[in-house]
Amino acid sequence: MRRILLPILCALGIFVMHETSAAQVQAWITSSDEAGVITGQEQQPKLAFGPNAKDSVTTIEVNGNKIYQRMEGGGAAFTDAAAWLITEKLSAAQREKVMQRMFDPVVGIGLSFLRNPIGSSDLTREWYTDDDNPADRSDASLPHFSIEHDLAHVVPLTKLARQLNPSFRLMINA
Amino acid sequence: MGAGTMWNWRIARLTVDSQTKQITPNGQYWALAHYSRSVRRGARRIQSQGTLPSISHVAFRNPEGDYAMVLTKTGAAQTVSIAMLDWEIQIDLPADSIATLTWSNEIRGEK
Repeated sequence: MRRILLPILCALGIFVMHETSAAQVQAWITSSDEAGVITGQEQQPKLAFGPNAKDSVTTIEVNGNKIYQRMEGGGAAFTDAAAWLITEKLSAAQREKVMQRMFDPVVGIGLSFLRNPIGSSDLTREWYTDDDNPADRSDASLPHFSIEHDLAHVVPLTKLARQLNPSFRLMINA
Repeated sequence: MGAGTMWNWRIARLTVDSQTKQITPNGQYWALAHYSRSVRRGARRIQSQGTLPSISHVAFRNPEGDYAMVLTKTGAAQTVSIAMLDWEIQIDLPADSIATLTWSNEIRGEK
């Protein structure tokens, strides 16, 4: 029995080795030529893992057992200026393309996170808050609070981003 | 929030030419794409170690178990090895480039 089992185990071992070493790596590279023209995310031929020679000084070791922070997402911000520009200065067709390229996970790069400012930031057309009041009126309990300023450009584009990417999340901060 | 990182540069990522109407993605757009296309929500950053002065690197494990790694190379082209457990691959990084690598969780020794 042992005589039969051993070759079977060896065969299994080789099979497992073969299976695991065949794990393939997909790669995409962005680079630019001498004229500065960018080739974005060009897919490379697949790479296959081989035995670790452990002798290279140009090695980066990855350790899946050392775990650090959790990712929420990557993205952009619709400032007042950017939202105004996209809404008012682009044609409908251009606007659609720009939004798709940013947020659509298939056609575009699938940005999944927006961080929008509350009130004006350093990238706005004019200074404003969500509770602007005449100099002689205070509004400490915020009965005049309003996001009306952002309803023109920021909010519609934010809603469109949410439609384009099911994983979309929004953070707003001042 | 607390945990996690956002890539949030307040710089335009797409340029629209007002004459030709052409939309051109710039380097920032592609840099962002290297993360946003491969690192899923809920991914955990994992350890990546190497002392290569002109390469910055970060590795993630996605919730589905697959791995993603982003390498940013400044200066001249270089070939580097990425090693995990008993396995490694070599990749040629062009001058001033960004690379994303992804692989499945089929590496021996991983659960």
